[in-house]
Amino acid sequence: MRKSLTFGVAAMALTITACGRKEPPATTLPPSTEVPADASGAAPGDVELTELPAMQADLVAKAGSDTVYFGTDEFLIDAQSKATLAAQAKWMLANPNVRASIEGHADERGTREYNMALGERRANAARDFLLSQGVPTSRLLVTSWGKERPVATGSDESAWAQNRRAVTVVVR
Amino acid sequence: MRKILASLLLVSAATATAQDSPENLPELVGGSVRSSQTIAVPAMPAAQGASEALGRQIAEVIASDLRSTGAFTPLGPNGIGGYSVAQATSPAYGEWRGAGAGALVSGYVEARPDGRITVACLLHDVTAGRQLASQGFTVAAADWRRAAHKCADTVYARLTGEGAFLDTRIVYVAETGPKTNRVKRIALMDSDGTNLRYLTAGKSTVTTPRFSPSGNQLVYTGTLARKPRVFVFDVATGAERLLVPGGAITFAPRFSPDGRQIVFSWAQGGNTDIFVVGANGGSPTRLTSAPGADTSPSFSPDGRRIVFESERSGTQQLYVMGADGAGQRRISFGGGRSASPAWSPKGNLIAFTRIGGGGFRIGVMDPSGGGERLLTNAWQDEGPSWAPNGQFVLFHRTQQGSGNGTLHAVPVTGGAPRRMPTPQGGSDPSWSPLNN
Amino acid sequence: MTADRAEWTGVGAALAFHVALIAAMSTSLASINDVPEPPSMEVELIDEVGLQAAAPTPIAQPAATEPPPMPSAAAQPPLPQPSIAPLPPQRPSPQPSARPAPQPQRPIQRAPSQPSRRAGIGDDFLKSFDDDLAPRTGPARPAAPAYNAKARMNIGQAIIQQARRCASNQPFIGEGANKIRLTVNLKFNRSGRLARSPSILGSAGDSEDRSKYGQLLEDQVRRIFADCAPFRLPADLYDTPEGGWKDFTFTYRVD
Repeated sequence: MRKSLTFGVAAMALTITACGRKEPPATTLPPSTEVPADASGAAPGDVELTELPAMQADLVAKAGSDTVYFGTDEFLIDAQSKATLAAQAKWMLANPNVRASIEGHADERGTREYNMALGERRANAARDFLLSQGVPTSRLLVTSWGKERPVATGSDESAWAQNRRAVTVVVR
Repeated sequence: MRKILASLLLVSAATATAQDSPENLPELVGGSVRSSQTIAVPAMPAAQGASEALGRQIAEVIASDLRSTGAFTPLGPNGIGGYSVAQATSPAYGEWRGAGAGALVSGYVEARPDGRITVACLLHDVTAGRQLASQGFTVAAADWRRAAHKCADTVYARLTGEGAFLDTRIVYVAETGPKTNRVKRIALMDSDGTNLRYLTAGKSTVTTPRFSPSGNQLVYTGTLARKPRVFVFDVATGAERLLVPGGAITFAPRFSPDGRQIVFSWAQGGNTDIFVVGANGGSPTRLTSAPGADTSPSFSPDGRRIVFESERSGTQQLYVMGADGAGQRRISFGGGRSASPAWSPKGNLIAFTRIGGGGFRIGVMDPSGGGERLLTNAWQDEGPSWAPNGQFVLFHRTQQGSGNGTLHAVPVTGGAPRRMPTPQGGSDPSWSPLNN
Repeated sequence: MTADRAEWTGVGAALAFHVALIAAMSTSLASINDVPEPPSMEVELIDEVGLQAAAPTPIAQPAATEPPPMPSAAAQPPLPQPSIAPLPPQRPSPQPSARPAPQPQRPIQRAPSQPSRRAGIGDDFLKSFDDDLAPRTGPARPAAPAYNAKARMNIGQAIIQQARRCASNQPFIGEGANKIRLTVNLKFNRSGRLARSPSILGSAGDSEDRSKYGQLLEDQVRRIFADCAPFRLPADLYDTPEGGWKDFTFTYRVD
């Protein structure tokens, strides 16, 4: 824990001195397979993650989907979601050199900050299921996008249903 | 006999004093015509090296500011005549009365040798024929607008009894691009929409920027390593730092009224709770631990209490607790769900978002939860923020379908919201304290 | 332009008043160093204005002249007719008094003059009151009616009634303003205009409301009694041994 904290602080200091303004630049550090984990599985760090599009496509192809869906104002993993997540878990175990950022989203019918919390709750639920399928904690990150990143544009039930989701994003 | 005399004297003495007690005096009752006050704002004359154009521009800003308050109908500067510098302090009241003005803003602009300007600002009661206020403001020439806002504030405060609020800024999230790929940038402007500039580049998602009590810093939720993270941002230099390092998902930040602490939400393990931390860093202190989402904390102006939103009862409702987390008590019982509270700087009201009936509306309630009033009525109005005088509530309105956002200010006394001018869409507006 | 003694006295008085005003209204704004946020601003109070000799500025006392006629288009600047905005409803311009010549004073049958609080005034008194509303110039007549309770009440009602037109035009101030009541004392000239600004003797109501709205109510009182002047009241009740409308105290509140 202390090591990860120092690591995190050093990384932050590096990025802040490098830029001193707005976003810290995307300083990439070599991926480590021995990252010590805290209870939530978060990586020690405030370091930008790199998406891996080719791996993502492979996940979708092999697992069927990188996304699970939720009912209005809910975070329950239903049977369909379990099946999808089980397949994702298999893929994760078959591809040990990557991590996944499990990212929760909400539809536009909630207030801004509440939806941020709801997204995290959904992502956490998905992650918990992946853990139960044997994926190591250290390889799973959890985050929320609230209602900020919809995939469907309408203000109708169909669009909202598509936006209430947790996406498994493959990252280095 | 003596007794009768004595009591008669007593009675007449009592009657004598009673005669002049307020209950026995004739009473005049003033009407309450609910109309705005007509106030003349002619172009200010230029003295000693200043330009006439500037005197007119200053009057235009004053008139526009006064109109925006909803309490005034300004006359001019276009369409009415001017006056000389000497007449600034001794206007022809009779002529202004004839023009239909109940009040008059006069003054002059003077250019100083060091490059600054002085704007004199005088307020007159035309009906009573007397001067009510007189102040001068010296600013760098490029900051002439601030002198105009300060003059408008002097007029507004003196004629309404309310606090000043026009010499302020608004920070918000400027939005462009399609709904599925919004570019969001933090934007800062004067409260009349001028002097707009962007503080972030738009490469990552930003939400809910809020001012520090000094007005020199912002706290907002940005993104780092794909997570929502609270940043503290210095407005003058652009420098910023993470509030809570180590990969914590943090959002919904607000400064305490003394500027020493920041209260915020932290989401972990599927639960979101409220924490407080020193504004300069340190280790956060947990304030809530209930299951479900606790978020949108807002300090009372005396710094002693915090109002926040919690779904611990099953639906989003408002709660108040001590600044140390003690005594958490629900205050919203008005039906539906209540979210995103903001405590008025006057302490007397809490603004919030009422969710229900298929939409979101802005409302106010008193801090015990009584006296609820809804101020707006549209598909989705949320995120209230107070003007520093506690008289206006800023919020954003989302359009159904497009998801485009616009900023509006609504008077707390009731009345139509006014659109705040922005060149593009916007959300999460927040009003600064009075500029120094 | 040569300035005579009177003008200098006036300028001196005006300057002294401004200095007093400045002392009462000092404000200072802290200066901030950097552009852009927020820029430095200095506040100063105006004590030098129109450094060319200006006409003395009468403070507080409303001009004792009739309002000038509306400026015609050919008139000199600065104030042509405004071309905009809904103006408040035009007040009828004050008409010069078109009353008949004052009636000779009638002897009045009444009890010997005492600070009497009882009724018993004959009809003659009321009639002479009604006929006698034109303000009078000239020396006070002998045997003026006493300023008793009934006279006082009638005077009070007359003033209130004449002020009501202006009072009912005052703008709404705010919630809570209706909880305050000011006690106001006026001093009138014989012409029916105020001899000095209204004096606020006291105010009733919650202290928070008073500090917020008290000044605004006072503003209204000053406007009302400037706007509805001159008040038409019987000259012989202006100043009697028992009092008169020269000195009038009332209460003011808003709806």
